[in-house]
Amino acid sequence: MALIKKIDLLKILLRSFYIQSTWNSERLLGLGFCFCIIPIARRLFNNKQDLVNFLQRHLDFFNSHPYLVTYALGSIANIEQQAILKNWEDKRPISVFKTRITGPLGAIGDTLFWQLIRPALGLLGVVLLLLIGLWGAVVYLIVYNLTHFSVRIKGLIDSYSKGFDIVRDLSLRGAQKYFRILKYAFSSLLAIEIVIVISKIIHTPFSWSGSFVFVISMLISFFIMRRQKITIDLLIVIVVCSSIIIGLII
Amino acid sequence: MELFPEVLMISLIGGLVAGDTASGWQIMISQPIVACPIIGLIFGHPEIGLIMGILLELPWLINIPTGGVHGSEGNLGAVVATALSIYLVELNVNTENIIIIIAIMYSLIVSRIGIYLVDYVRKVNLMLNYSADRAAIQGNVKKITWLNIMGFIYTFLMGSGLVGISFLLGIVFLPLLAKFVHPDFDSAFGIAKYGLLGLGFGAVATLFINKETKWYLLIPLFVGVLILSLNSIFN
Repeated sequence: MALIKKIDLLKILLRSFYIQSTWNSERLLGLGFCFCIIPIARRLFNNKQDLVNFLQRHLDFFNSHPYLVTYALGSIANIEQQAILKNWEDKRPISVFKTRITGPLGAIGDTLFWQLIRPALGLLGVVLLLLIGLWGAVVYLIVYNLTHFSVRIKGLIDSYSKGFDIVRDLSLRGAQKYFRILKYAFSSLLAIEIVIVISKIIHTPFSWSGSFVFVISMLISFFIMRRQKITIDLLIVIVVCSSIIIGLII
Repeated sequence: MELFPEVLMISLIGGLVAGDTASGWQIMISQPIVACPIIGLIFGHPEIGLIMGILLELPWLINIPTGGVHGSEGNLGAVVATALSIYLVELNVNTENIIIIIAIMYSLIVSRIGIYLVDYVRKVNLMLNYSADRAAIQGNVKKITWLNIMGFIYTFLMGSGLVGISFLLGIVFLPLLAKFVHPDFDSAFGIAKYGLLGLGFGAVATLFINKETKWYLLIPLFVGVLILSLNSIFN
């Protein structure tokens, strides 16, 4: 028997877009998580003390990647429902479960989206802007958000149906092999994009000087940023000033 | 271009960009690749919006927002740089290339100030979290909902304020700076745009390229350059 309705899950999904609104250094997504899970509080609890315990439980420390947070929200919705249906005396396993999935949700999401998909699609978007103008931004938004929304929706549906068992799907070690494949693919994509950009620069008034500065700046930035000795702001200042000097000499 | 409606519009866009960057949706409308062309379209200079989007998208992508770490607020800087470029090009204070590069350099300061803004917002968020604790004791679900929405509104207002004020300061000081540069230097400043684009590619490459993946870059790159060379020889 399910107490939670589909409309509650939809509300949770919509609220999950605001999970980072009150990010802070002490509880991280604590308040955001509680805000997202409120639709099921309204559905499950009529007794005030139970409601207070529920809210306090979910205002506690929590962290996740914002897109993958639906994996936690769906499973918690399921587990809270099970706790009521089966009359759990002790609800500590819920908090333990939340703590346990914090690590994988953050690590998988940060690597997948912030280190791989967003930069790769950013590069693709830049090349599309060069090739097809404003439509490049539209294509970028559609492609990115198809990935983003599908992860959020799939996360909520899968985790709501699996409850505690969702932990098995969230293995960082299991995800590593997919990350490696993505890195190979994005490296080759980067090569193609570099060639496209150079072919575009060659057809501008700055053909050879522009291509020369582009390649040199790319190589220098790559090696400097890999060592992480300076911030990107400072590197921008150095590259812009050096390029102007090269431009004056040429 | 009327100044007051423009400041209002830029501030609104700044607020939305600040909200999308870290506080809300994260559907990437805050990325320079999207925000700059939109600003260009709104103010009738889509080509400047495109150039700014292309130049400013990549460098900030290597700031990975993991845990509490956050770098310069490059997205807010990009909004200011694009709006200022359009405004100054319309005022005709110097050539387009010179204006664009000066606006980008100014935007670095704005992005840097953004770090302090985010730190402040996080402190406010912690206060909201404590208020939520008190609301939880009363079982006040509505108040908890509002406190979280307040967090988003704070970020929106802070982003709006930073972008609006930076834009106003920029239109006062940047024309004075731009007049120092002789228009004959236009080509040299034009080349700096390619340097910035190269920087973006190089910086993002650090996220994918390592000893294991380097051949996946080098082989297609070699083939591509070969095709490009043959193409230019035969044409």
